[in-house]
Amino acid sequence: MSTAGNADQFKQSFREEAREILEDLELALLELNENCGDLDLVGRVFRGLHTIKGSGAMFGFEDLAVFTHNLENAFDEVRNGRLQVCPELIDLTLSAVDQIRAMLEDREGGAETEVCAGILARVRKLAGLDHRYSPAAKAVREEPTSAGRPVRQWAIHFAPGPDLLLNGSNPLLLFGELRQLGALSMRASMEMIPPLDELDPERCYVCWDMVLAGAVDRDAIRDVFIFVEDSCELHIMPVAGNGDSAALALEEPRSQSAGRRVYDRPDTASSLRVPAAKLDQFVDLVGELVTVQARLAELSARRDDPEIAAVAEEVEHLTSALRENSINIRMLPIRWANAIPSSS
Amino acid sequence: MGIALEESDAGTKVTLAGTVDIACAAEFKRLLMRALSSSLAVHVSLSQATYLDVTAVQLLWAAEHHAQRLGKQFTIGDQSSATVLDLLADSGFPAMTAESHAA
Repeated sequence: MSTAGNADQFKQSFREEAREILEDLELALLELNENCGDLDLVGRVFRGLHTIKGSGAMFGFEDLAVFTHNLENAFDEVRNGRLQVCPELIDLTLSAVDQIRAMLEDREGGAETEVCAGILARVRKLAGLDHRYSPAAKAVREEPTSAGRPVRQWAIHFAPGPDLLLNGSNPLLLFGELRQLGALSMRASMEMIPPLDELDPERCYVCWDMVLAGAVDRDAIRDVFIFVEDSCELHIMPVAGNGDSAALALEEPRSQSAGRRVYDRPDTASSLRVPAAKLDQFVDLVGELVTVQARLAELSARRDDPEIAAVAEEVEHLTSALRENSINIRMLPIRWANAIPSSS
Repeated sequence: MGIALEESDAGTKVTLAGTVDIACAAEFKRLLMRALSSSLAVHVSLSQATYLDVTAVQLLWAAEHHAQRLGKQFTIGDQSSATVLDLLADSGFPAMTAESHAA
């Protein structure tokens, strides 16, 4: 398929995902109307808007991204306690969702420019955004703040898959999204770029190691990568200790750079013949690990130690991923298992 | 968007204009290969470029190393390219300067 064809296909995928997010947004807004003080619902609305904005920009829906950005800012004000949820905000956001839906369809008679402008003007006035997000205030806003939530450092390893660019994604646009979450420093690894005559010009060979400092959790960072996560290697790890650790995360080349990435291995090495008993044992061990991890989480919750909390969170994340993997491995369809050639 | 090749006795100048991204990556590679095979000195001008994506940066990086292996001179950018190069530095790419790799 051509580059343009791939881009259209992924635009369509974005439309489908965005429609689902909008449906969830509407539900969350209606629930929020009944429970104005529910911060989980506020977070759900914010994340939905944030995802639509970021991914919209990435897939070429710039108008949609700009429009949604203002709504996202309003709900950021709510999250930070500077704005109360009120019926007017809910009504405006529901109207905005209708307009976003029309923008997604990208057809004549879709979003009405004047209606959009009217919604934005009222949202900005209601949330005081004209003052807070003026150019003069922008520099202050972009500094990470510890008000309400602690500033944490995250080490992020992002290795786009070979087809990420062909799918219409642009990794450089993701970095702008990350910068909205906090202070970002980054280093691109160029070691995987082959000699010019062997280089596939439409493939991405570069990977990035980043350190993000901001009052954000892992999910907020993962949301930035939501539409590319399946076609990249993504590791988000809390950085323990001081800034020196963060600097090391950028300076030390990853050992993987010397070799080839997982998806570069030949297909012949992608299947292994493993006795079912060993798989059962593996799944049992993962089960035990989940139990131990739960005990660690409980212990961490009882102790006010941020370093233990960071380790516990990381163990929880890894255990969850391992559990999901082990279940998937154990549930391989029989026809697939039979397709693996015998070693004898 | 555009890539122009200018060949002279002194060498080859590759001029990038506007957005240089995946849409013209194949053409950019072809022109770099041609320039490096036919000239002892290749200069890539970025003064008319407004944006380079990952594919363009990869090609410049590979071309620079290809020139080194061939013992050819390869230079990228100039003072007027500062804006584009700053954008690349913001994305964590290592500096690509106008320093030459002498034959």
